[in-house]
Amino acid sequence: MKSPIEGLRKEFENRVKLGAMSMLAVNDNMGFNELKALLEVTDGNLSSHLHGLEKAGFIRVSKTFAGRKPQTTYAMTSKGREAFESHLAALEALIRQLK
Amino acid sequence: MDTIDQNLRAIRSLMERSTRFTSISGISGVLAGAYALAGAWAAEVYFLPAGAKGAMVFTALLILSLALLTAGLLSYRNARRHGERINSRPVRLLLSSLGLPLLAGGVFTLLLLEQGYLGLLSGSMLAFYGLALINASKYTAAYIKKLGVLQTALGLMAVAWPAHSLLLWSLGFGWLHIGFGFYVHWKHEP
Repeated sequence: MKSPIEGLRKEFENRVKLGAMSMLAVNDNMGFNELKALLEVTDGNLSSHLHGLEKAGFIRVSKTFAGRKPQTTYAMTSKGREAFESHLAALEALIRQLK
Repeated sequence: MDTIDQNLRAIRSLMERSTRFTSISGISGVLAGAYALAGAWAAEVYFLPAGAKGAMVFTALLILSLALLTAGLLSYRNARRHGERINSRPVRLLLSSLGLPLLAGGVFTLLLLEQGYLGLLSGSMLAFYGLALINASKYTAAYIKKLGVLQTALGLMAVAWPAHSLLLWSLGFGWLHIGFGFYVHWKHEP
């Protein structure tokens, strides 16, 4: 039998990355400040983790203008959704095994 | 084991907090119900016998404003206490998903009044309000959907039995709000 640990993604070991992915899984898109406020992290910290997720192809970044203010919004890609769901399934399988 | 549990709990909590505003106040429901009962009593005793349409519309709008103001202020206070944010995406979605159907319902009800369909007023208010709640329940505590279903059902009944429409209006806007308000207060506001 395949061990559930194989489904775990090392990209999601980090709390900020996992948190951002959780929110993007249930919201079509979210702005930088919205993510920052709920994760309670600094600008630099969040932006480096989001950059990592973008490079892995898990999220899509788009820059728009809200009036005159530039705004960056993030959305989950289908590759990101697949990875996130397999990570969740692995976590749940681990829990069941340990109980 | 602990960290997996913590992970799952953090995931669930972030999903919840990024999509729903849950600091709604139960006491504001009780107060809104009390305003509505006072209004229904005034309508029954003074406005309806006198046929005072203008005074009735004015009172209805006054009650609505008071109820919305109370709900806004008390929920704001609740949110401050729980550390839940006010200027957030769920709050904006909640307000627009509640506000748009309510606005449509308000205009619809005023048009009915203008065209003389007095017997349909209660039902139209209840039904639009109930549907607005069902619509908004995606962005707030899930039990709001039940309140919406009940209000909508009372609205349909009020249209079916116009003779009892004021009673059904008091049941919906008055007693249901009071009942639900206490339920929320005891159950969800420790």
